[in-house]
Amino acid sequence: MAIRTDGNIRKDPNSSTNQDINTPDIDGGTIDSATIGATTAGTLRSLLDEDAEIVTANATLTANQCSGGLISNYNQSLDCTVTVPTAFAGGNFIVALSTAVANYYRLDPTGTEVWVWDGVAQAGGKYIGIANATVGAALQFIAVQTGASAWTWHVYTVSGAWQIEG
Amino acid sequence: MILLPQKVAYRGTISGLRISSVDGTAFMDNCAALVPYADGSHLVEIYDASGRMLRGYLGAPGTGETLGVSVLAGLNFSSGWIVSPGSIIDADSYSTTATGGVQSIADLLVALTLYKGALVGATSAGTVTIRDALGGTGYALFASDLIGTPGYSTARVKTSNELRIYIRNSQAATTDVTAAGTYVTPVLTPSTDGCTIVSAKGGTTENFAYKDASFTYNAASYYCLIKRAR
Repeated sequence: MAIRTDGNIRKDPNSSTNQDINTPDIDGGTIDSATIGATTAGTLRSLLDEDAEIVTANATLTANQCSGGLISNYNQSLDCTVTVPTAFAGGNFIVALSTAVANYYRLDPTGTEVWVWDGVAQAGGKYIGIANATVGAALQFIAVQTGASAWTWHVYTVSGAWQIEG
Repeated sequence: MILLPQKVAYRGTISGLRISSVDGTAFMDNCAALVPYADGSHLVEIYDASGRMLRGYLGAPGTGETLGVSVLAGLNFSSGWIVSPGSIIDADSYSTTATGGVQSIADLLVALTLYKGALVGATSAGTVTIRDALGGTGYALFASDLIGTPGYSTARVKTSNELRIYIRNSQAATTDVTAAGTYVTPVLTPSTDGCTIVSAKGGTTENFAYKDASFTYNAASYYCLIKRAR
């Protein structure tokens, strides 16, 4: 294994054994031109790939945003309904509100999908929302496998006066 | 690794919730549904309609409501009270020439304390109400029935005259307040339908851990969230 003059890491073509990288010193960097982290001495911090401020009246989250992402309402100024895609393998994300505003913020299932909220299955297609967005209100979404190829969103209240659609 | 938040044990809207959030005497009452969680190990978040929050740990179940001394003990309108528009008649009577009443000159209430009160007496006209401040900024603390039906109210934070007592008639009238049966008394401990609030898990200091300065007290209902504390 060697770092060539062009900066690329390449396997030694004359070696027939596995080659390890030991105690590398990584000072920042990019992947496909995107910064992968902030580096301080002894620490490599990753950045969430899909930090997203969702503040339009109607929005639909992407699978990427629901794969370890953080959804916030930064700068929310109107009522927001955010549709969550059907649960999928490995799905997990957090909704954390950071702007207080007298508007609702709702997480809505796709179609009539059933969500399990704090351990209780809800009626199909019912949103979980907060009437007035408040700083610190938060939910955690985790996709749990419920069939050979079926997953269900389990939603956990972290904080806030979230309520199910009536 | 995905870490789950603390488990939600209860979530719901409670009507008629009584709150004492004064430090040292923090408790909730008229909330029987929450009492089973009063073991020092459950966190409660109380939200008003605007999402403002009180947060604390449910301490111990109440053993019976206890009351302090009425702030109207020794009622005497002739000393320490003013009337507008109108005049004082005697120690427990006054007349108004329009909407108005008598107001204590000094602050009689302690902010964020829960009070139990009742009003007994008679008036020649109008509706009589015990309020917490003169004029448009005041609101009725208790039932305005003049027959002694008790009510509850949490004293507001003072910005002007909110800690005074104002006995208001809705129109020109002569009002005679009966001292016996009229009271505004601090509630010191919760009934068996309530519980104390402590600021830390398993703690003994009866304070809320967090109080939004703009929290709306005396609302008709509150959204309550209870979680088992780690």
